Amino acid sequence: MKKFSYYPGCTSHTSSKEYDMSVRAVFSVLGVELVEIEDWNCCGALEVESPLLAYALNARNLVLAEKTGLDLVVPCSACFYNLGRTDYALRDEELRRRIGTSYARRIKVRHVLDVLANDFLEEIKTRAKKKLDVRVVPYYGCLTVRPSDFGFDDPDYPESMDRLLSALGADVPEFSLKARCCGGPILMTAEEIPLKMTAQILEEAKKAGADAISVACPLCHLMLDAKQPDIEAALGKEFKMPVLYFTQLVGLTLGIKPKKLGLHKNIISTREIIRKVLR
Amino acid sequence: MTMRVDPEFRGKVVGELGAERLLRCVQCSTCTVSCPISEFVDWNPRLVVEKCLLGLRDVLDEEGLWLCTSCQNCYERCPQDVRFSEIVLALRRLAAEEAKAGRLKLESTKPAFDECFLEMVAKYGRQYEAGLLRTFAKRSGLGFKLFLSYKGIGMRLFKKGKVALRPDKIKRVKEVREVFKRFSGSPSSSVETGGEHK
Ligand code: SF4
Ligand code: SF4
Repeated sequence: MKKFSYYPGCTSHTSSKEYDMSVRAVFSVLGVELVEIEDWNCCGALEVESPLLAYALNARNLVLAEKTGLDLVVPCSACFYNLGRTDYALRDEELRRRIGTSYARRIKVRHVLDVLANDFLEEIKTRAKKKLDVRVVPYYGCLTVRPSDFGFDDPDYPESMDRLLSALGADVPEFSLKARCCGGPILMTAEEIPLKMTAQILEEAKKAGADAISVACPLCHLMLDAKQPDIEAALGKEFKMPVLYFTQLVGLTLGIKPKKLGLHKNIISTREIIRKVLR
Repeated sequence: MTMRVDPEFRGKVVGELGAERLLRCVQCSTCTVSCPISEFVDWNPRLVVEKCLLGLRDVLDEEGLWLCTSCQNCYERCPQDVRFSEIVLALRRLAAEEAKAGRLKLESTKPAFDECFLEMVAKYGRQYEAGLLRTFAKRSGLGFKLFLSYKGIGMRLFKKGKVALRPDKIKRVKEVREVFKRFSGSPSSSVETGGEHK
C-alpha cells in the first residue's frame, strides 16, 4: 500500500474541516494511507518575522515527518510554503547547525495538489464514477505556486488543477486571476483591502460564467467562501458563488458521499454542484 | 516627508537575515508592477529598496510594510533575485525595534496581531483562534469593536461547527517553547538573531 506522511495544519480542526475530510476521503478511496505526523506544531503561518524562528518551528515538523520515512503531504498552502521553504533552506549545512536540527532531507515536502494532479491523475480517472459536469474556475492563489524554488507548477499561470479537473470532465475556462493574491493574510489588520482583492476574483469568476470556484488553500477558501456574504454586502452585489476545495470536487467524481467530503460545511451552498455532478 | 539620511542604515538592513541581497537591485520596478498591494495604497517596493540604499530611515514608517501579504510575486519575478518579500520582513523587525525603543510609533495593528498569534503557538503548540482574538482585541486596543467587525464571519463559521471552543494543545509543547526561547518569538526581539548573520 502506498503511504505518505500527513501534516493537516491548524485550520484542519477549524475553518477548513471540509478540506481535511475530503483529502482523507479521496486518499482512502485511492488506497493510499496518510500517516498523520505525531504531535506536529503550527507552521507559524505568515506571522513570523524572523526567518530563523520560522525555520526552527518547521524543522521540528520535518524531523517528525522524517521519522516516518514517508514523503510529506500538506493541504494548506501557507503550511506548504513554510515547510517547503524550510526544507529548501536546510540544504545549507551551516543553517542546519544553527537551528540545531537533525533533519537530513530524506523526504520530500509536497502540496496535496501536486500529489493528486501529478501522481494520481490516471488512477483518479480510472476510478471516477461520475462526470464533473460543471464549469469550474481554478484558483491557486499565491503560496500554492510561489516561490517556484521548491514549487511544482508555473508560478504565474499554473495548470495542474486545470488538468486534473478537466480530465474529470469539468469545463475549466482560462482564468487570468488564478494566481492573484486574495489578500487573506491581512484580513484581521486591514480588512478593506483584502475585501476588494477577493471581490475582484469573485467578479471575474462570475464573468467567466463559473458554477463554482475550485481552491487548494484554506485561507483562499476563507476569503472567497466565508467572507463572501460580507463582500456582497459591501459591494451591494450578489455572487452566490460556491467555493469548493478541489478535493471535494475530485471526491464527488470518485463517488464519495457529499457528507464525507464535508460539502455541508462550506458557507455558500454547494447543493447545486452536488446535484449537477451526481445526477 | 523629512529626508533624514542615516549613512549606517543601509548596512543595518543588509546585515539582516534575508536582506543580504539588497545591493543587487537594479531599480527595474518589476516588483512594483507585480505587487497587488500597490494597487490599493501608496506602496512602491522599488522605492522602498531605493530608500534603504540611500539610508533613508523614514522607510520604516511606510504603511505598506504592514500590508504586504507575502504573496511572493516580488520574490518570484525579480530579475536580480533581491527577494524583496524577505526585505519586508527585515524592515518589519527593524521598525518593531525602533518602536520598542520609543523612536517610532506603529499605526498598524499587524505587529500586535503577529505577536498574539505567536503567543498562542508558544502556549499550545498550535493556533487557537478564540484565544488569539481575545488577546488581539485587548492588545490592539480595539476591544469589543474587533468582535463586532468580525461577528458575521464568526457566526457563519460557528454555525458550521468550524470554530474551536478549546485549544488543541500538543503533547510536547515544551519543545516548541524551547524553539521560541532560542529564536525568540516577538518581531522586535528576533532582530538579535538576524544580526549575527553575515
Ligand atoms: S524587481 Fe528586483 S531589481 Fe527590480 S526594482 Fe524590484 S528589487 Fe530591484
Ligand atoms: S510579497 Fe508583499 S511586497 Fe512582494 S509583491 Fe507581494 S504584497 Fe507586494
